[in-house]
Amino acid sequence: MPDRDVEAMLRRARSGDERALPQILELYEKRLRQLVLVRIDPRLKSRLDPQDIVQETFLHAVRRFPAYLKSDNAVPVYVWLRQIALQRLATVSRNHLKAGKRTVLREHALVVRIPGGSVRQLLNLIPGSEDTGSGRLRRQELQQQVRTALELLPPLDREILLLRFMEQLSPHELAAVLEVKESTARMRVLRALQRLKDILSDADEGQP
Amino acid sequence: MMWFSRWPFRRSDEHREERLASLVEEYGERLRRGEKIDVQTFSEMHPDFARELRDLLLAVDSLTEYSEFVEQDDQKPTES
Repeated sequence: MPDRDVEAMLRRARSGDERALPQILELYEKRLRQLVLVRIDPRLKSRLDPQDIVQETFLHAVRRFPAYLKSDNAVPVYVWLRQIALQRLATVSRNHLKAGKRTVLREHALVVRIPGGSVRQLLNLIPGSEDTGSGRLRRQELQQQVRTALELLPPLDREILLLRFMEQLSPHELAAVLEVKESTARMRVLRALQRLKDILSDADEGQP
Repeated sequence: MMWFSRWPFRRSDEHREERLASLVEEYGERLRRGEKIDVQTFSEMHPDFARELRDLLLAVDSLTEYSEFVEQDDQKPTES
């Protein structure tokens, strides 16, 4: 979504057009859903419907939108929506975990990790090149390698890669979330990506 | 004062890193807009960085694919 289209919608909202906010929310619905999927506590994945969090986010956004429009130094609109979604997710997760702590923890202990595949295979993977059963399985294994590599990264690097490549924040939005200049955000993405690449390569060399 | 003696090289190293970061950003933005880009072709357009850029972009691809996998996984029916 080009930023200028969103800017036009915001201008319409400021001049009193009530159709602007629903259009903005519709634009970002898919990204917010993806955000919830990326950020949800794995123990709650089978218990929480991401769409419920998105709907709650919308309800809160409608209430807070007038204040957002009046703010002098507002963050980009997606960054604002994202903050609301994360607050909603944190609150709902806390309630769920409190309510069903024992059951959730027992279920979590049963999660079995998929055995790892070769990272060289990962690096040579051509998207969409295989659609056979074994191809799908191999892809699942490779996804697990990426997940493990992400877990091995320092927390800030992991966060930056999640924001940029999984939540799909634009460079402008990323800079707003990190509260740094765009050039600084760009360099942090590069550093984090270099570390991820190194972890993937090291794991690959360790393969038999 | 090792760093001082290396100063002229530091400047060019930083410039190179900034250029590399810009290329990664350009690739990421084009992917975000839904463009299909061949990593090999894109990397070969920038021969000064070719090998390193290729490996970085493949890591970007793997993250993007992982993100799609997370999304698809959510859409599968839950086993009871």
